[in-house]
Amino acid sequence: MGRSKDSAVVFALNAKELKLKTVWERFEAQLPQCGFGETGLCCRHCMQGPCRIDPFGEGPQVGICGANAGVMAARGISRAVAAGAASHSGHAKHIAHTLLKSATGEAPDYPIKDVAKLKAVAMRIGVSVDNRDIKEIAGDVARKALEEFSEKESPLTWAATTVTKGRIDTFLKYGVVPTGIDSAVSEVMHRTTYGVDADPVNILLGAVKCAIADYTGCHIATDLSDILFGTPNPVITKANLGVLNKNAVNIALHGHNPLLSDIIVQVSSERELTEKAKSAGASEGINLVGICCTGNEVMMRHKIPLATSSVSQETAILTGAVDAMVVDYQCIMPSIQSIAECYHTKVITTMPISRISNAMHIEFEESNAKESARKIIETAIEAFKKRDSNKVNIPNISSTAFAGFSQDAIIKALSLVNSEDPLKPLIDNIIAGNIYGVCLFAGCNTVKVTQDANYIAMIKELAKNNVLILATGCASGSFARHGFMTPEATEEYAGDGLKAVLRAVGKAAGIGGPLPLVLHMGSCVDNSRAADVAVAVANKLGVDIDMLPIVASAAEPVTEKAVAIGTWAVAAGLPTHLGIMPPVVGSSTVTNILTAGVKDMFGGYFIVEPDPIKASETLIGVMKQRRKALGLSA
Amino acid sequence: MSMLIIGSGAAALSAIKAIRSNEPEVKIRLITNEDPPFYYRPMIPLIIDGSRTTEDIKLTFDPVERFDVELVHGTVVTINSDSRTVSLSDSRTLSYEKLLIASGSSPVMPEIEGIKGEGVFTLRTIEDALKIRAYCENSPKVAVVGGGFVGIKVSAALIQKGIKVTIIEQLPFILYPCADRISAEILSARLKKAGIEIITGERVTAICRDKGRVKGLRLSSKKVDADMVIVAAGVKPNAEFLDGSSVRFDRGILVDEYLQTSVADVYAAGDVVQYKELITGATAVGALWCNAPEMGKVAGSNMSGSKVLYEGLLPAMHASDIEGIAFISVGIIDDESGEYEVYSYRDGENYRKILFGGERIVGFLLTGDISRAGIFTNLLKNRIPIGGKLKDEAINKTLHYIRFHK
Amino acid sequence: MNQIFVRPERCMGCKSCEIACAVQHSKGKTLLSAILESPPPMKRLFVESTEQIRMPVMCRHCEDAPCLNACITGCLYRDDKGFVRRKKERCIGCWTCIMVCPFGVISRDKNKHIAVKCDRCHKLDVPACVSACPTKALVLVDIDTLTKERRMQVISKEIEAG
Repeated sequence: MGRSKDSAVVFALNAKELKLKTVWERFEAQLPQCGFGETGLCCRHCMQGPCRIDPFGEGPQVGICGANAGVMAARGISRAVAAGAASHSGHAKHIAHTLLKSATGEAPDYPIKDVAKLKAVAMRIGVSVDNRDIKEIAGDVARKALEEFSEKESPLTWAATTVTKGRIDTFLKYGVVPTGIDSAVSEVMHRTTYGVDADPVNILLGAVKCAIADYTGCHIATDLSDILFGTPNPVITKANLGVLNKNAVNIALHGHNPLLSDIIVQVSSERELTEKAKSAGASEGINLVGICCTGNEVMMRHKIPLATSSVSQETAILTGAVDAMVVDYQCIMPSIQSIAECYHTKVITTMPISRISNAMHIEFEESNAKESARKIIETAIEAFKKRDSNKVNIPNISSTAFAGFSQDAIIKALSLVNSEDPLKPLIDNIIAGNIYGVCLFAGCNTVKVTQDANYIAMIKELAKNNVLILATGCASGSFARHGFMTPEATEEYAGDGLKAVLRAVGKAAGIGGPLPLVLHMGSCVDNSRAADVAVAVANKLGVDIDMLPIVASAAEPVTEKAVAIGTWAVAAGLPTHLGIMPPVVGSSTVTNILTAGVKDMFGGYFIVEPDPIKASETLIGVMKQRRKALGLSA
Repeated sequence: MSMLIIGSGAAALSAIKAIRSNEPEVKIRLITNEDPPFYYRPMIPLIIDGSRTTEDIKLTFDPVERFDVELVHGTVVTINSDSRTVSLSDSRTLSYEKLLIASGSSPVMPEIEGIKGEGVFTLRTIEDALKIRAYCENSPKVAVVGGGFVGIKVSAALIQKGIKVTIIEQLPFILYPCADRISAEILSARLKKAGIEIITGERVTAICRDKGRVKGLRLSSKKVDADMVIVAAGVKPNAEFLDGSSVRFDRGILVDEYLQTSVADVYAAGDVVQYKELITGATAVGALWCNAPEMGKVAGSNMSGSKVLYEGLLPAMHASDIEGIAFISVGIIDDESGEYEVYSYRDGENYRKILFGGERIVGFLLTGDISRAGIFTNLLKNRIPIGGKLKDEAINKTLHYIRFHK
Repeated sequence: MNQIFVRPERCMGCKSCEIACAVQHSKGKTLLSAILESPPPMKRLFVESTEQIRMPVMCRHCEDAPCLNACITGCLYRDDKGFVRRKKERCIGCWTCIMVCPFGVISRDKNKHIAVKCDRCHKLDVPACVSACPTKALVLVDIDTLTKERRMQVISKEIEAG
């Protein structure tokens, strides 16, 4: 199995010293991985354990407390959903606190950028906007957001006001309506601990509830980020390691929250800092690049190019050209510090909950954000002076990437085709079959498959079958690095129907070619944007989401966040593909529930298929079924 | 039918085992001029430093008992293949129907001015070790001529006794052909750290004496003080006694692929043999402990009815621990001709080198991390081709046995 | 002679066998004491994998053992049960056995400077690795019984096909 389909990554790995271990060497060293863990048949939830269940039937079939394989696997996967929800929740509430500080004047570096978005969100959640000061509206919106996290008596506002009525009815029916984001997480921890929930279906429904809470957190994060930093519009930028510049101070922004990255972007253009960089010897000043979701956030809003994605995050440092890697939280491998120590690169942690031993820590303060950002940039400039030009080896590889397709931007683009009824052209084309269906690619990049292999194989299959492709997170990163986010990719890979639609919209938008083959919708919390599009289409057609020929694919999933998002995609009614075996296969009960049982309840379900071509065929088959059920041409 | 074996070293022992597995009953007689006859020769340096006694290094079992062998003490002076007899120095003759010559080799004593006389020793037998141990008590400075394994091991033993040791090696680096320049540098560094002085690229031109006692050595371009000299400059096969017999020899006894000599029913094995190298086909002599047991087994099997081919000698097949660094080298280690693909990697004292001829490993060397070395030895000796992923894993030293499991 | 028979299809790669082996060869003989020992105890078997299979690779106590034949000090010997074992005091750490073991299952003890290999837990009735395996991927069998069973299987298949 090759390590990566990305030639820039391969270049960086070949150029490194043999003794430097990356994620790939560490993965080899872990092989063979423990089968009990792989199948979800291991439990460490109490100190009478650890317990394991023998999948071959000869050894114990229950843990010490009597939990069987179904209970063990269900509890395990539910805790993953909880961890994912906690992550998105942490990200969202951080922004909500900042919005509140902005409203009360305590965070002058975070003014309201998108007033229209603020008002739209306010109206949606029942905050009055007429004749009110912006700061007052913002304060109320922030407070309402903060209320979402704990104990309330009423359903989560951000979920209730954004999903279809059909979903609300379904969620009520199965008792999975969350009233608090953190309380949903806490409830999962409670019910999965020693001696609480021991019914796999019940446990999994608890996970669905927590997943919906996760969705809520994601939506809050997206909305509030748009309010503070602007709603993304289409931009053209670049992706891959070639965006690093040997004549500039390269700062890699890695992690998730635009609260940090957006400020750094804003401050980086300040004259004083650019001058400092040039005096230090960087003739082209400061060059910011992104990694992972925070990279997506600043790419969508500020055209900042993407250096690389999650599994290959270390390769940025291996080029010898990254002067500082600034991180906040999530998906940051602790190894970057030891790798950085072999180069001049400074890893700078910024959040109190996310430090790395031996890395430099510059705590980021929202009340004094720009000052913190300046300090960080100055540190990078200092580090630049220690760069060893003999170790600089930037692969001359990058692709153009069209990004910035927030749901608002997509509607805007469609309204150029039909200003009165922007959704009509989309729906007409779906009905006509020019758009056979829609596939949202979400999720990560895993070391367990050749990097990007699944994404590349699947997009070609789906696009040629006229499936409209949306993407977020590192799935976006993958497509961006391989040139799929371009009009050229549409010309090369799209089926005739799809091509015609993308050409038409592209023409109306005046970009001189069709829209790119993949619409980059943003970071992982921005999966909520894709949800908004699905909801809009469903409402327009007068059906629920589970009737639409829309599917999701986590072709190379890694994190607990991916498990959470996958679960709410299923709860939303989307057939959701997983490209690797999830750690539940040791229990046929849980596996059946997740791949079939939930279908009867929510309409959505998981499709586990490691082979990307087979997965594509299955997804197309699903779209065909749904089209037929809607009376559309199949 | 009677079997006669000349010699009691590794090849002889291995031959006896092989004969007995084919022929449990046949008469086996063994002639040796060593007393004790059976011992682990590579351990004799440990007698010098006192960490082992003669008793300690005797074989842990008695071959005479275990294999029902008749032991004869004596020195062979000639072989008469017409009469099928062997004559000893004390005039006894013994007859044979099948004969194995495993007479080993002896240290080379170069023709150097002043080398004859007291204070100059070689190390080959227990007797030699005991003599060295006694003499070195009054020799605070010892010069060791030759930077091969014997030279290094005897030096390591001597410094245990607080003696100042200088190794003089005429080649540019020690341990040729088992080490290359880099591994020699790594090992020399360790030896030097332990207090052993190493001089390379110098030949000994004379041993200087004062009133008969060794005072020092004159080298090509410098002088070294010494009270005692140990010559470890290589070995030559003990084949001279065959002069006048029909058994043909060159540097060593000439044999065919069954290890039979020019005389029918007379075989040879071990250091005394001259044959071709496994990989290159070049002519070589035995000279390595590790080549001997296999040759003994082949010769013994063929003497007792089997037909086993001997594939060839290895120029290097050595494992040792040199002042705390593990060192293993097998096959062809240096490639002057550029004929082989060479892959090497060094990280401080950990060094590995692997040479490929196409898809076959022709040599490898490891210092420091020697884990799973046997897998490479096996692939090399059995000429097993490995390509693609396996070759990559061999080069990166991540090759595990499970790759070959059926 | 009792042999350890490996069923690779049962191996979960959990490495319980490796841990049990190290614990059995520690001073304290319990996991807790073993992990606190310095230097730590060494395992003698190795769970390895390819894309197709995973299984523990261990000493076969070969009948014609290259290590036994190559040992230059008389440290390695065959005991009365047929297992290839060490007389530790005779080992001088020359590593010739490591150089010749085709399975790569002899290791170097960097602290004691001696070779380390499986001793078939000769002090126990059942080797530690076999006891520890949670899926019975490692089983103790008598070779003659095993081969007889195999022959019976072949014969039954012939009769069925018959």
